[in-house]
Parts: sequence; structure tokens; C-alpha cells
Amino acid sequence: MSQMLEKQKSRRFSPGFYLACLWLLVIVVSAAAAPYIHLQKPDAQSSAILALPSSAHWFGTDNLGRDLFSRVIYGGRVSLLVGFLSIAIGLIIGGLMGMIAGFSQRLIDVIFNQFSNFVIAFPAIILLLAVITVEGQHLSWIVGVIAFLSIPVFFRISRASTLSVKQRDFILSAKVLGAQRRKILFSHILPNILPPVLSIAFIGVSAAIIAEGVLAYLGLSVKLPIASWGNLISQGAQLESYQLSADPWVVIWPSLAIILTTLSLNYIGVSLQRLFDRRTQRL
Amino acid sequence: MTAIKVLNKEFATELTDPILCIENLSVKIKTPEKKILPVLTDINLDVPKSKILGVVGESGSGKTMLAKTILGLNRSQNYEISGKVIFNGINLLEISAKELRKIRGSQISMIFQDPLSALNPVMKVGKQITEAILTHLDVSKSEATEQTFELLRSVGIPDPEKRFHWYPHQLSGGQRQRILIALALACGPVMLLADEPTTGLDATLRRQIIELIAREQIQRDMSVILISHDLATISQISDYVAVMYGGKIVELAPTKTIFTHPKMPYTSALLEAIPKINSDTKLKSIKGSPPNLEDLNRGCPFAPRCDVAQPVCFKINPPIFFDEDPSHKYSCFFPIGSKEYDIASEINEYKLANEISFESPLSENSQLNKQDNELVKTSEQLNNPDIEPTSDEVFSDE
Amino acid sequence: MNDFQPLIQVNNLTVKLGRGSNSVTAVDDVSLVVFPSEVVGLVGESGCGKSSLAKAIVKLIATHSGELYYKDLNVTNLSERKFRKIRKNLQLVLQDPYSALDPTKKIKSILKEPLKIHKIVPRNQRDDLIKDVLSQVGLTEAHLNSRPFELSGGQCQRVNIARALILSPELIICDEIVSALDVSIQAQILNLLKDLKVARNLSLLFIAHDISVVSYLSDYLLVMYLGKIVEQGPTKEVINSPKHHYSFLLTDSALNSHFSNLSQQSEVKPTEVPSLRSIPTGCRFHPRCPAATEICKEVEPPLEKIGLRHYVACHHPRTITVKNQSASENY
Repeated sequence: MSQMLEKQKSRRFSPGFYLACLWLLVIVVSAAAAPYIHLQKPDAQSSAILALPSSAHWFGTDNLGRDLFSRVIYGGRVSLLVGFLSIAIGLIIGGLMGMIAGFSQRLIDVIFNQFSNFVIAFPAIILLLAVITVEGQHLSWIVGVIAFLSIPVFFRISRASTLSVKQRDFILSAKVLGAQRRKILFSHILPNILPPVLSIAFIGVSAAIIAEGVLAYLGLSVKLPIASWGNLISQGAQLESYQLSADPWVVIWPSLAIILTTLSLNYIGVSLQRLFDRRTQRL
Repeated sequence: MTAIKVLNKEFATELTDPILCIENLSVKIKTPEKKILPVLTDINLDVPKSKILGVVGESGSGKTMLAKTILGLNRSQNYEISGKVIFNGINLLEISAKELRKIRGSQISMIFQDPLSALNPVMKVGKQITEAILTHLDVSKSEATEQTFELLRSVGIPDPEKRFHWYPHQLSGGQRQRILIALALACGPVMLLADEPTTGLDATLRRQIIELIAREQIQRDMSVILISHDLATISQISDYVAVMYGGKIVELAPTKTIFTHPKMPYTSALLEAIPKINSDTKLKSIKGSPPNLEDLNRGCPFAPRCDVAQPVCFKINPPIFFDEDPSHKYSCFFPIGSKEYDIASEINEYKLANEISFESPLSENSQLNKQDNELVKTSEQLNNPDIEPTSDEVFSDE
Repeated sequence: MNDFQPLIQVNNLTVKLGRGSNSVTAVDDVSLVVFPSEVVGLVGESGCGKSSLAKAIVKLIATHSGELYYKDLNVTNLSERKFRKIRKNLQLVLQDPYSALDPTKKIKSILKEPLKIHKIVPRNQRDDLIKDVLSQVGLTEAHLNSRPFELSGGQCQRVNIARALILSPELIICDEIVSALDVSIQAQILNLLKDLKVARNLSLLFIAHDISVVSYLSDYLLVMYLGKIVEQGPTKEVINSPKHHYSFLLTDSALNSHFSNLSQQSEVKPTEVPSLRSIPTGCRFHPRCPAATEICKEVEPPLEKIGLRHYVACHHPRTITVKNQSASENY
């Protein structure tokens, strides 16, 4: 018996998975701890304009002499916050909607479905432009809009998983035992749809981070001088070519940050998907 | 005391000229978790020509893997295969994939377990059969179509001209199975492997399908290997039965003999575990569960569940024995009906009554341990084919 | 408890699946009764509607017409809220041992769930009750911390039975519970049920397609074909002298499963097995029946009494006992 248990535990994630987790840990911790550790102020301008990396400035400086290292870390705070928070909101709302729609499959299912279709059909950029023009470039609105746009994704996956889990005999058994609908929904359906929903969530976070980058490129993200990775890249992209060739690190560091982070998130999401597929196949 | 002739591991059937010789076949599988599991171990089997050989076994017995190996369906990296499978003088394990494809379907064909997944859902059933015919036989399209109609008729499909154009999902389960049989017979194979051809079908249908296979076997003079977990199905048409357990063949005999005089305790236990419609006696269940391939012990795979298992059974894999009847082979140190069996039974009953553990080694000085060592020595002698121990040497304690 | 009062009574139950033109009558005017401490067997081929009948009895699916009684209470139209209290007396065990267990839960919490729902056992006694029921089904405490995929099929089925037992139900409906198991494990589960029936005074409605398996456990046997009961009676009578030709077909296949002489012609004409979607006119079995006549094609025979608690729905019931069966038949 114990041998079988051991077999389950040694699922063998690839080393890349662990690397990805490590990277995420690093940036999340550094982003969270940023105000408490001894970093140079991200807004502090200095005379060392476009300096290359040195012991004084690990990543060098930008065109206003601001320390790039601390700007990248502080930028991480914004990008990661946008990524995780917007997806968390979308997941909770969309996931719950999907579960309820899939389980009851009556009028509520029709209503939710139509709502989801409406959101998908709505042009995202226009919504963003409209909201931000009216309300201003505040973090909360950015998070809000991206969250809103991600609801259909989670609605779909949550509803589909719910429909499939609903067919299984243990749901029938729970009903025969006398369990109430709410208990079945949260005690049986929820834990069983969590795996596919979570793996999509990781991929969703990476998409949200890139979305923020795109917004920044359009000048719609948080206002400078607040750093976000997208901001840093778009800032760097606006430099004159001679400035860029003097100090390309201005764009390289934030780009690397986004690339590594989105790669890690996608990798984790896909690995989780594969793990859960294998698990369910075994049954 | 019956004279026991002990052979080395060769399993030659004196009765008929075998169509397929399997020699020392072992198949190991590599799991995703990098473990190596022995799915088949040292299979030696001669499939007699123009007869039906039934292979019966539960989960983990390796019977499906046997069929797949014969047909070369497991030639991927994940399998370690050793031994020989000789068909018409050719070792099927060594020929190229191209040559194997020529043999498959035309000389050896297989009926799979699940008709719905074995048939192409988007191709009309008639076309699937004509395609098989055209691939292997040198006939024109119209001839192939005619042959298909004939085939459909002989497997009992009504209105073959009409059903030719149907898709698999339009047919019932029983009809799909008949189509699979027609497909397997299309090119007139000399050997047919049927893997659980009646699972999922109902009792009445099962009988019809089995009888169909038997009829075709006679008409076409084919050799058939019929694989099933259901002893009843196998017994209806098989001439010989091979019982598999934990990747090994543990008994092989003509059908009637298996039912009336099984020698391997597993076979007998299996027979007693099947509910019989006209008897009231309590079913004798086998304790434990089918073997987990990961912790197969060195000895006899059935030992953990056997009522008469002795310590030697856990240590040494019993070689193949046969008694006066050379067509009845079994792999057990304490076969039913022998004196050894009675003694082992008594020993185990004693242990049970006195709560002595079955598997723990007894003390150095005990009688049983001595007997144990005698058997170990004898088994080592067995690997040398020149030495044939006398019955006195084998069981000198009595 | 009054022994003559049936535990459950099904009166003229009809169950339709699907909607509109796609609907199929899975259960057609079926009546049955289960008394306390009785094992009633229901045998029928797959697709005959027996699973639908089982689900209808525990009110998992809606019925089209007919009545359902639990003891003397008419529960046909009872609301889910009120029926919930009765559910602890009527349990169901299904065919696939793994599918019936939540893969994210440990066995311990799976067994605790019914206790939490019905709250009939105080918290401090729950663990003891779980251990007790585990040992009754032949499992040990070591299994409590495992998850379903770590156990074998036979072990999972035992967990399913334990879960059904833990509320001390009066009736357990077993729907093909051994069909997916190996023969040796099947014997274990059947013996377990036989022991439990005696130890706990349990009633069972045992449903399977294999008549040997069903008859091993049952006191009373019902034979179902395409949504209708074609014969019912005490098991021994039905097995030894089946009156309906379909019952005979089933018992004959089972009896002759060892070395049958294939030279004997098969009794059944090789026509297709009909599905519930295309039910033949008149007697549903007539296309396959060797004794069918004109009236069988037109008029559906009603269930008629031919012995003590023995009924058959046939225009030309058999009159020969299986034990003396020879090739000729008496029509």
C-alpha cells in the first residue's frame, strides 16, 4: 500500500518546473519586500544619466539618472499586482458563475452564458480607453477592466468542468445520501474543477501582465513616474537611438523581467495541466 | 506417489504441429515514473494448429499483452521484450515493421475488445472491410465488394447490401462486434487472436458470437487464440485452455481436464469462485487481490493468495511439470490431487489454527525448513537439463 | 416492524428519458415489491431499463407515471426536502467503483459525509462507527487515509458498500455492483453481501445482467426485457422452470456454459437485439422467440399469475422444467 502512495508522490516535475517556481518566488518576494529592503529610491533622479551597470547601480540608470534595479523591482510590484489581482478577481467571479451555471443548467445558465458572450464580443481596447479616459489612469481601474475581461475565460472552463464532473457517479451518490445542492456544489464539484481552472489561472496571469505591458505601450497604464515593467519598456522605446545604443540596458532589464515571468507562469500552468490530465486518466 | 517428470522450461506439444511457438518471452514495461514492471515473464507456449486455445486470466495476468506482443503492437521504447515468437519459421519479434504489416491482417489477425473504438467512426463499415481486402489480396474492387457481402452474410448481418453503407454508430453493439469479426476474417488469416470478443455483450449475444467464431474456425481451418477473463465463454469452444496469473502461464491443459481435474490451486479456486446457477453452495472466494505488478515476489505469483502455499513457493518460481498426461502442464509444487497437496494443506491448516504466519521463515531446526532446503537444491539441479531427479530425491522427507 | 408490510412498493411505474420525439420509455408499467429482510433480484440485459428503474426508486430521476411507496407513505410526489429524511433508509451502490467516490477526498471523509448530512450519530461516536463498518466490509483502518485511486477496484467497491451501510439503511439497491470486478473479487463481494444480509437483516434489490450472479443472492427474481417485467417469482422456481422464453434463454445460456455441445442449434433466431428506441409491436420478445405466433406480434401479453407469487407475461408460456430439458418443446 505504501508503495502505491510513494508512486503517486514521485510525479516527476521536470527541472524546468522547479526553476520556474524559483523565479516566481524571487520576483514575488522582492516585489513584496521592496519598501523594506535597502533599495535606492526608484524616483530619485541623479546626474548619472544612462549609466551602464556598475557596483553603484546594479542595472545601470535611465535617462533621468534613476536607478534601474530598484525601478525594475518596483515595477514588478505594479505588474505582478495587476496580473495576480485581476486574475484572482476574474477567477472568483467567473469560476463561481460557471459552477452555478453548469450545475443548475436552467434559466441561470442561459443568463450567465449570454453575459459571458457579451463580454467576449465587446472590444477590449475600446472599453479600456473609455474607462481610463473617464476615470483616469489609476491602478484600480486597470485591474478592474482586465478582471472584467477575464471573467468569460474562467466562466467557460469552470462551466465545462462542472458539466463533466456532474456526470460522475459520486455526485449521484452524494444525492442519494441526502446531500443538499449547496453542499454538493462546494464540497464535491469545487475541489474537482479546481485543477483545470487553476492551471488556466497561471496562464491568465501571464496574459494579464502582458496586457498591462500593452497598455503601457499605448500610454494607458499607470502614470509615470510610477514604474511598471510595461512603462519602463515603453519609456525606453521612446529614447533616441543614440541613447539606446549607449545604454540598451534600459529596455533589456524590464523586457527580461516580463519574458522570464510570463515564461515561468505559462510553464507552471502547462505542467499543472499535464499533471491533472495524468491523474484523471489514471482513474 | 506419482512419478513426476520434470522438464526444463520447454513447452513442446507432442500432439499437433504448432502454428506459433513462443519461447521464453518476457515483456517489461517502463512506466512514466521510471519503474520497470514485468508484464510477462518467461512465457513458453505452443499454439496448436487448427485448434482453439483459450487464454484465461484476471487483471494483471498479462493476457492482453501476450496478444499485443504476438502482433508486434508494442514495439515502442517503453517496452523491453526478450524471447522469440516464431510463426511459420519467422521470429515475429525480429522482422521489420514492413514485413510485420504484411503478416498482420492477412495471416494473423486480431479481434479487439471494444468494437466502437476499433472501427473507424467516419468510414462506412463495408468500406473498412473492402479496404482490408484490397490491401492484402490481389483482387479487383468489385470482387472485394462481393467478398464483403459474403462475409457480412456469414457473420450474421441481415441485409448485407444495405448495411454495407452504414456507419459504425448506426449499428448495435452486437452488430459492431460481428463487423469486427468480418474484418478480422476478411483476408483469410491462418491464425486469429480474439481479445475479449464478448465483453460488454449480453449473455444471449455472447453465445451467438462465440458460436460464430467456432463455426468460422471449423470452416476456415484456422488456429484461434481466444483471450478472456470469463472461463465460461472460453470453455464453450476451446480445445485447450491456458491459465495465466501475474504474467506467467500457470496451467495448460485440454478444456475438459481443466474443469474436471485442475492441478493448479489458482485454477481450482477460480472455478469455485464462479457462481453457478443451479447450485446453492457458498462461493469460495480467493483472499487478497489480483497481483500488483510492482511487488511481484520472486516465487510463484499466486503464493500470497494460495491456501496451500509453503515458504518455498515464495522463494522459487515453480518450473513446469507434467504428469502421465503430457498435454496437461502446470507450474506448481503442490498440485491438487497429489500427496504434496494434502500435506501442504494440512500444514497450512495447522498454521492457521495456531496463528503462525504463512510467510515468516520458521526456525532453523524445524522440519519444514529442512524440507525447504531440499527443494531449493532440487530446483537448482533442474536448470541443468541432463539431470532428472528421481521422485525420491525430490521429496525425501516422506 | 410488521413483516408483511412491504419496505418499498412500486406500482405501475413508467420512466421516460429524453424529451419530445427523442424520448425513450426506459421503464414501462413496472410493479415490484421488496419486503424487509428479503433479497429481490432483477435480471436483464444492458439497455433494458433496469438502471433507470433503480434510479427512479431512489428518486434520482423523475417518473412519468405510477406510484412509489415507502412503507405506507406515498413518496411519489414528495418534495426533495421531505424525502431527504427518508433517504437514509434507501441506499444505492453503483457499477463503477472508482467513479462513485470523490477522487479529492480521503476514505475517512467519504465515510463521514453521510453521518454529517443526517446527524443521527453524535460526533464523538462517529469514528467508532466508521471503524465498525469498515471491519464489516473487510477493510482496515489503514485504508482510512487513502484516496480512491490508491485502492483496487474491489476495495473501492467495499468502500461504496460501507458508505451505504453506515446509515443502517433498510434497503440497499445494488446496480451491477460486481460486473466491473474480477471473478475472484466478485466472489468476495457476493459473499460479503450474503453475510451482511444475515448480520444486519438487510433488504437488497440486486440488479445484474448475469443470471447466475443474481440467483446466487436472491430470494425472489424479476426478469426484465425492454422496459417490462416478463416474469417474476421465487428464484428457485424461475431458475428451475422458467415460464417465459426469455427467462429460459438466460437460464439455458448459464446452465450450458460449460462444454456446451455446439451441434445443438441455438434457440434464438439471429436477429438484432432491439434497443429501447425501437420496441417491437405486441410482445416485445416476439422477434427472437421460437414460440412466437400471430397473436404475439399484435397483442402485448399482460402479467398473469401462474403460481404462488409467480407471474409471467406470455401468450404461450413454457411448460417444461429446465432440468429435464430436451430438444423438443411442447407448444
